[in-house]
Parts: sequence; structure tokens; C-alpha cells
Amino acid sequence: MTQIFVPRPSVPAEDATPKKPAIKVFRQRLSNTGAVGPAVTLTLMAVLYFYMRPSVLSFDGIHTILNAGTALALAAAGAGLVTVVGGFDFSVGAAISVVNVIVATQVGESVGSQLVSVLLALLVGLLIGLVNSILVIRFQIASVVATLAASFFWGGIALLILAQPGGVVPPSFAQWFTGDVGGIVPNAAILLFVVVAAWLVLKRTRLGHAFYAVGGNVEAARLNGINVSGTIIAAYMIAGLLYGLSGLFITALTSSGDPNIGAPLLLPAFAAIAIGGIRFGGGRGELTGAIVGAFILYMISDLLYAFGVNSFYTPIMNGIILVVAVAITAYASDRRWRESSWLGRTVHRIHPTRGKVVQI
Amino acid sequence: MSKASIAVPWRRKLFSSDASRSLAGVFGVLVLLIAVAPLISSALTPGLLTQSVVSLGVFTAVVAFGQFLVILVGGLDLSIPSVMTLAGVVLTSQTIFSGGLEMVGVLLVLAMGAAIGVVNGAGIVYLRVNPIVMTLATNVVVGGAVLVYTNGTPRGTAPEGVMNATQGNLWGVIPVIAIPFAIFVSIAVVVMRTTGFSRRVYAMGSNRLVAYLSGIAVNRLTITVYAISGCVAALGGILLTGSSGMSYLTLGDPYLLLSLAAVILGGVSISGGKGSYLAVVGGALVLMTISIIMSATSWPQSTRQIVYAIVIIAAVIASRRSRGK
Repeated sequence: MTQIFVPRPSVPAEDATPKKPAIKVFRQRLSNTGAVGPAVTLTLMAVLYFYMRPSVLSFDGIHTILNAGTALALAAAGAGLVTVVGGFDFSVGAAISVVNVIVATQVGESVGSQLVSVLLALLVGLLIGLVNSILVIRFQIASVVATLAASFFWGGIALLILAQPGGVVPPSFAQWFTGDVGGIVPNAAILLFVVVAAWLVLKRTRLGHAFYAVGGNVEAARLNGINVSGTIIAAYMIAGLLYGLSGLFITALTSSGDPNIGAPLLLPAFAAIAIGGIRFGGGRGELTGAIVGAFILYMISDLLYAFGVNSFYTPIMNGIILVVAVAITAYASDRRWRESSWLGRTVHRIHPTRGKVVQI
Repeated sequence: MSKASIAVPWRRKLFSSDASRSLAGVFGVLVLLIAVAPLISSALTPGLLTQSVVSLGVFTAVVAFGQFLVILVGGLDLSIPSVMTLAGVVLTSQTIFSGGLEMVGVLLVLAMGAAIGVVNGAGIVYLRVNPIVMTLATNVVVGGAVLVYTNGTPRGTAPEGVMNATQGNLWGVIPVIAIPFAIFVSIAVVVMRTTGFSRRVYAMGSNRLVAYLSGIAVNRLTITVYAISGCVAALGGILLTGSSGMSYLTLGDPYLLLSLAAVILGGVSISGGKGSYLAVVGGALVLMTISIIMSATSWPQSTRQIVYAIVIIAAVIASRRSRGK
């Protein structure tokens, strides 16, 4: 019977070796970031993409790709952070819709009003994240249920603000996000660079470590003196901030408001998270991976479009990619496979020496 | 392990104060809502309200059975909306399923729903994909398939036989759809109270490893549970199509949140292993009552959606509180 649940040494093997060559340490660090797989996939995908569509290999072409993929990339990064701490955030679509309709109805020609709109969008994002985290932490509602109900709520708010698609965004505002600096660097690239840099810094802080600790094992994190509630609230609020940015970007891109614009982003965001190597259930993954995953998805859908495949097939493709990516991630690591948790529940296994069922 | 030693704790579990308290609570709220409804709108007489609650609540109650089973085993089924829509569009598009052949069409659609459930279960069990992710993906894939199949615009009307079984009132009082509803709930309750299947489901839901070590084929049972969920989602889609006479692309959309909310209002623990279906039916009827009362107001769709979301969250919190959690 115990053969099925093979005992594992509790101490990781690499701790036993006293010293390792620098290149090995570097490789270990690189693979620990979890960004290698997605980066390799992106490179392969980009080669394939530019081979199939050489006309896109120009400043304008790359600018178009960046503009088209950034909204999804930011949304996936936000939902990815919630996934890292072990939750699910289904409010991503509604959050983007609310930000979109607010900006589309508020923004004016003057720089002042545009700044106010940006601040308002980010504040709304933070508020949405705060509400989610209160439902999850204070009222102990499962994150799926809480964020699903919250998305229903925010969807209603979006409809209340703007019942029908409409509203106009001045081109000067759109240029902030979709324009470029001196014809060399697209603004979208700068935005993504700032987000990635902020994440890489955040990751190394106390809070960054806490995200992974809480996502890996809530109880262990609590026993180690980590403020679990604060960490989860921070994760949802940062996610909300990213939804705010994503909503701003999509508003600039479409130059109008639509109360249902965010809903179709939900599944691609989760597919991007899966491609990016973030584990559902928490504790592993990189927001950069989710951003890369979003661009991989965009390239795939664009290739399908270029080959004249009906756009009805795009969601089918995204769904299959999501499952395959998650299955590969699960298969890649036997240990993670065995310990994969179901809906965040404690996984049981048989203790190697005591020979009885213990909770891990 | 004699039979009696298993049977006793199982009965105790089903008739425990926990389950009956949820049941009493949820039906108490239902009666209260129906009693105060005339104060909000004079058109909402208790008789009329009960009639519409039954004829509109049946869809949520039926699909919530699948969601209930899946949540019992510690999962979640997000593919319900697409399966319902698929059932609707397939049923209305095929004109051969009429004039006596309705039953063939219905069975075919039910089998399709079950097949989608098997895919869900197999992905969860064999590919080790998280249930939420797996069913989310299936939902979108099936939704895409619906678009491809209908080319964006569903056609046709529901088969005559299905419409006859779901529309109109018996003697002008009892909605016809109450008959399939009553049959379904009776079968479901009997199954969940008397069969070995239900015992295994509860056992697996409360502890998967112990269930496995006790000789339950947990993988097969998981797949069965998801297959049943797909099958009853298709049944919900069939009933809804029959009742409205046609199918449309957003047919199943409201039923994800509704089924989830009904299960939680019924006092079922989201982490699995606990709960009774009758209380879930009560939860579905409560949700529908609130929805009908709100539609009697002059509020726009957006306000109704906001209030509904708040009511659902409040109800979820209240049902947790009452169980002392």
C-alpha cells in the first residue's frame, strides 16, 4: 500500500552539497524563476510567427503586437498574482469593464482630466481588489465564489455607468498608451518594462517572499510569523491595480467604452497564466511568465487569423492550449504531480517513518 | 466491515441536525419571502408567485444537482453554461427530432452532456488539471463549438414533445414543468439517500485518501460525478429550451453563478463531503423568488444585477454564520 505513496525526504537534496560551481548555481537560479520554459516557448513561437508572417517584422508590426497583447498581459499578470497566493480571481473581466466605462465617460481633452482619469482607474482597480480580499479573508468565502459574485456586482456597476457601448476617448489620451517615444520605443513596451521591473523588485522584498510562502502552504506561512491576511489583501489589491492598467490600456486601444469588454479576457488570461508556468493552487510561478504567455496566445490567434481560420475557433484553441499547458506543467514535475491539491485542500500522504496518514 | 457499520454513520450524517437546520433555514426564508412579496408589488400574490417560482426555479434546481455532486467531491463545474446552451441549440436545430422522435433527440443531447462531463473528469483525474481550470477550459471550448455549429445564430424551435412537457399549466393552476421537476427531485433525493453510489460520493468528498484506501475506485467515481453533472446540465438546457420554445447563445450564462449560489445557500460545504440536495433545491427556489420579486420593481437591469450580487454574497455569509463557521 505504501508503494503508491512513495515517501520523500523532507530535506531538499541540494542542501546536502556544500559548494556548487557558479554556473550550476546560476542555472538553478534561472530555473527557479520559472521563466525559462515560457521564454523558450516565446522564442520558438516568435521564430515561427515571423517566419510565417515576415511582413510583421518591422517597427510597426512589433508595435502592433505589443499594443494588441498588452491589455491581456497586464490582466494575466494580475490574475497570476492571485493564483500565486493560492486563489482564483474571476473578477478580472468585470474589473476591466468597470475601468473602461469609467475612463470612457470621464476623460476629457485636457491633460489634467486625463491624469485624473488614470488615477481614478487605478483607484477603482485597488478598490475591486480590496473588496475581493475582504470577502475572501474577513468572510472566509472561497475565492472562486467570492470573485464570481463580485464580478457579477461590478458587471452591474459597469452597466449602470454605461448601459450601451459608447463614449469617446480623445486621441491625445490614447497616445499615452498606444503611442511611441520618438518613433523608437512603443509606450506599451515601456509600460510592460515598468511592470516587470516592479515585479522583479517586489519579488525580492519581504512581501514578495510572503506571496510564495502563503501560496505554498498557508499554515506553514502562518506558523513562520507571516501576516497571511495582509499578504492576501496585498495580492488582490496589486492584481486590481494591474486590472486598472489593463482597463486603461484597452480603453486607449478601442477609444470607446463597452460594459462587456472585459468578459472575453477571462479565459485567455487563465490560459496565459498556465502557459506562463504559474501553478494553479499557488506557490509557484512568475508574473513575467504570465505576460509572456499572453503574447504567445496573441501570436497563435493572429496566426490562425492570418490563415483564414474562423474566429469562432479561437476560444476552442485557447481552451485546449490551457488544458495542455496545465497538464504539461503537472507532468513535468513528479513531486508536484503527487502533491497537486484539489481546490486548495490539504493533501494527505503516508508519513515515511511513522507509516500513518499525516497532513502536509 | 459489515453493512450495518457503514450504514449507521451515513444515516446519521444525512439526518444530522446540521443538514436539517440548513433545510429548515432555507425553506423558512422561502416562505418568508413569498409572504412579504405582496407588500412590494400587489401583483405578487402568494399563489402566482409560487407558480412562477416553481416554473422558473426548476432550471437552477436541476443543474444545481450536478454542481452539488461535483462540490461534494471537492471540485467545481464551470462548464454548466456552455453545456446547457449546447443542449439547447442541438435540440432546436435538428428537425428530425419531432413527431415521436423527440425522445431520441433528448437522449442524444443528454449523452452529449455526459460525454463532456467524462472529458472534464478524465482531464481532472488523468491529466491532473485543477477542476476549476479544466471545467473553465471545457466551458470555452464547448462555447466555441456552439458558435461553430450555429454559425453565430441558433435556428429552429424546440421539438413539440419537449414543449408539451414544459409549457402551460395543468387545470390552469399547476405548471406542467412541475411534473418533470418533481420526478427529478424525487429520484435525486432517493438516490442521494439510499444508494451505495451516494455513500461513496460522500465518503470520497470528506476524505479522498481514506476513500481510496477503503477500496473505492476514486478515479472512476470522480469521472462518473462529472458525467452526471454534464448530463443534468444538458437536461436543464433541454427544459429551458422547451419552456422558452427556442434556443439562444446566452441560454446557459446565468446558471453558473445561480447553481453555485444555490448549492452554497443549501448549506453545502464548498470544501466537500457535506450537504443535502433538498436544501439545494430550496436554495435555488429562494434565488428565483428574489429574482422574480426584483423583476416586479421598476429597476433597470444594472441595478437588479448589483442588488442580486449583494444578496447572493450576503446569503453566502449568512449561511456560513448560521452553521457557526
